[in-house]
Amino acid sequence: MEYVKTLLDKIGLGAERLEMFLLSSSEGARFARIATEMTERIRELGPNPLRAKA
Amino acid sequence: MTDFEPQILAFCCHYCAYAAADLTGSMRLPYPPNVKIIHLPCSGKIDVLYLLQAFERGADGIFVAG
Amino acid sequence: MIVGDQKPFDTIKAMLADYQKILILGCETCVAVCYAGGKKEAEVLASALRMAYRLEGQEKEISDAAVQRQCEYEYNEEVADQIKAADVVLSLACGIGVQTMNEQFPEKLTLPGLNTTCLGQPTEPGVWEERCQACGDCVLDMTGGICPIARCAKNLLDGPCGGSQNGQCEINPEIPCAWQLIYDRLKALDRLDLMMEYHPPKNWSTSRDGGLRRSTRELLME
Repeated sequence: MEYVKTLLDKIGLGAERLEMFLLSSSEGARFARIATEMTERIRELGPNPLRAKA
Repeated sequence: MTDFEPQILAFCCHYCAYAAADLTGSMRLPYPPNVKIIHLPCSGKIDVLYLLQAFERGADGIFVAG
Repeated sequence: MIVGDQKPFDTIKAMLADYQKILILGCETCVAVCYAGGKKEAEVLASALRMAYRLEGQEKEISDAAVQRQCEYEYNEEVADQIKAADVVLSLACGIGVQTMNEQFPEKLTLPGLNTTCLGQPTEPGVWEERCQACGDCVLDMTGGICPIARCAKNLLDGPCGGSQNGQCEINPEIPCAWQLIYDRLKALDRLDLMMEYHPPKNWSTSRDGGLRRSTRELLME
């Protein structure tokens, strides 16, 4: 994961677009929270710049 | 950019994160529809290429959960 | 095995800047097992480069392939069509593979994507360490199987130098002194007598000093 994050930085996409979470099967509420957090984070970062140029 | 709806992929382990996501549904907890889940037999199955190709094809964000 | 390290991403990106159709060609032998230049690394690099160039507004056609051994014509022949279709080839093989490609496909420039570092061995997960310098005149029979040419910074053949301190090398205190290792091994094997034998000066003409080296098998020659 760290390797891909450094690679994303080198490519120019930014490591912040990727994250790893450890959670157990009983953490349904935490999954919802993570999904919300990631959505907010990416919303702030804006669209994948590759998509605009594709 | 106000109408930007991010496309986010969640690579989830069958035994933990996918089960957790399942529980999220059973508990009727809402989470953003932007997150699309990809079911893996284990998060150890994740591969650099899955992540790069997802970004290359336009994913805005990715998380791996296991 | 031959050990290599991938050149920095930005170096590779700059090297390929002037080309449009690029083939990244991995080698599935030595450099694949040290995770530097196999099929997987070729695929990852191709994807990363496509994205990096696209972010700069350049659409390049970057494909990837891998052959079993890039140092042999027969294997490269299998991907000849892809090689010919590209403007340039970035080889992820060792220096031998890069040169084989340039000799075999003289009309096509093949660039090196790796720095070939040494003939080495995996010593712990993620670490490869030099073990042989291909001197052409092996002395391992006299040294308990530990190479003083590859492992001593001074290539000494007659025991440790004064810089051997507490079993470590003065060049880099993290590297064990080769002659300390040799002494310890011979002592454990009860063969310290090997250290007392006299040897004529080593014939360095079989090493790099003698220029380009060739091995021949007359039975196989036409």
